[in-house]
Amino acid sequence: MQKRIVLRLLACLMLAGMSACASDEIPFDHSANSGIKTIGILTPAMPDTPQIVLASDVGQSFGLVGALVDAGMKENRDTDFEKALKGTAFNSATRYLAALHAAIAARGYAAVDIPAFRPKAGFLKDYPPAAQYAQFKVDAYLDVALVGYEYGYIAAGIGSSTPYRPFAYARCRLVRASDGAVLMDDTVVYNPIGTPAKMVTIAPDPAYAFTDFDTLVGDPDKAAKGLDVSLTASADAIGALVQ
Amino acid sequence: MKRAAAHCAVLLAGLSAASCASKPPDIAPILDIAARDCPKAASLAVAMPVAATQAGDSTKPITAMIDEKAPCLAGDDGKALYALFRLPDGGPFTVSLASLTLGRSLFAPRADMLDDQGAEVRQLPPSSFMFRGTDMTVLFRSHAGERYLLVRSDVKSAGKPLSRVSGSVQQTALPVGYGAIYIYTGSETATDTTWSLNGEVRVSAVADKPGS
Repeated sequence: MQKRIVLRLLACLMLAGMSACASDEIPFDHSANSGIKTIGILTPAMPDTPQIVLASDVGQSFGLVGALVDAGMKENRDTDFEKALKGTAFNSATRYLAALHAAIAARGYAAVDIPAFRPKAGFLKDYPPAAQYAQFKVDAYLDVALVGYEYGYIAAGIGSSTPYRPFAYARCRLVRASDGAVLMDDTVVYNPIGTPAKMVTIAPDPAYAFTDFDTLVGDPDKAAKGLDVSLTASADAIGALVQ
Repeated sequence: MKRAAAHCAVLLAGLSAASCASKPPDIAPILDIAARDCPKAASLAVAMPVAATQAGDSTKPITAMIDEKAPCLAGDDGKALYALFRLPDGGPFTVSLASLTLGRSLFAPRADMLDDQGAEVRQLPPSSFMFRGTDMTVLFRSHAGERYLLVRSDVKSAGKPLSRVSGSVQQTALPVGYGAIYIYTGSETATDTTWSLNGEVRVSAVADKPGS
């Protein structure tokens, strides 16, 4: 148990550093890369289930004990939401891939889904050689990873004035298939907490706000629709970044 | 473990943003300048030079207030206020353009690249403008022959409302004995702005690192 707590705190510190030093964005230069006609969309890195985040609560003020209590409560919320969502036909991974496909196609590219095995969270370390998907004539790969914050529902605090709203935190990168050059690199956050710099931010759709967790799990169909809206908006913003 | 870490990251990102926030001035939106006499082309004489920095260094953005005294242009869609920026020699550059929220107003941006004679070379797609934090922004690469960045108001958008909700987390220190405990509270802010002809824009240019 102690090891688990230490690991949680280490991960927290690591991610705190990441948020303070967001990497520079690389905009896509369409004119300089007019040869990019077909984009292979790698299976996005994302967990099967959304997470439920309470961004501030009383437990955070009470050190390790508070963190432990918080972690337990969060795990319960995640599990309850997952159970509620199972009653719907919603599949986050399938929907996100479809939304990315539509977003890329809408910008005039041929979009091809490329299965990707991801041993670790985050971007792929090595990309498939262009010859591997020669039949599709893939010019570039779109690598998208919902890491760190991932996706799900978040409330800034407790109380009805800070309802649960859907969120999605996506890192995205366009990589040239022939030589692995990074042509675009950015982060898209749907419903961020605070005003993070050096990343595209999308305000949440006000239609999907749940005053508390019970309200959220009590309406799984609407909750699923909210997730769908957030993931679709995230995918569309990524499409806009490669236009 | 990752999920608990993400929880922490959300909190810390919100906290850091809240601690750096300063309240911008509240400027009334200008929605119509029909009474003004506006030429059809931008004057290169009013161009403001943009200093380039190198990738990895701090940027040196230049800010322009586009108010009722700003120069104007008469276009097919109506009369617009504008600011003109002259890009540095050399390049290509990664150019950042941001329209800053000023209370009730948010400058509705359109952007064109002009050559050294002031002729339009390229229009930046309206869909490439996206929010980064509270600013409406676009990030793009300049090309050879693009000397000026013309930023003008998008007349068709002027007057349209924009509502955005954002959450944040605040940290408050509570003295206890010789130390303190920190209380974390969350809040939401609803921002109602109007796309306007006036506002404030900020431009920076970053050159690639040599050899990259």
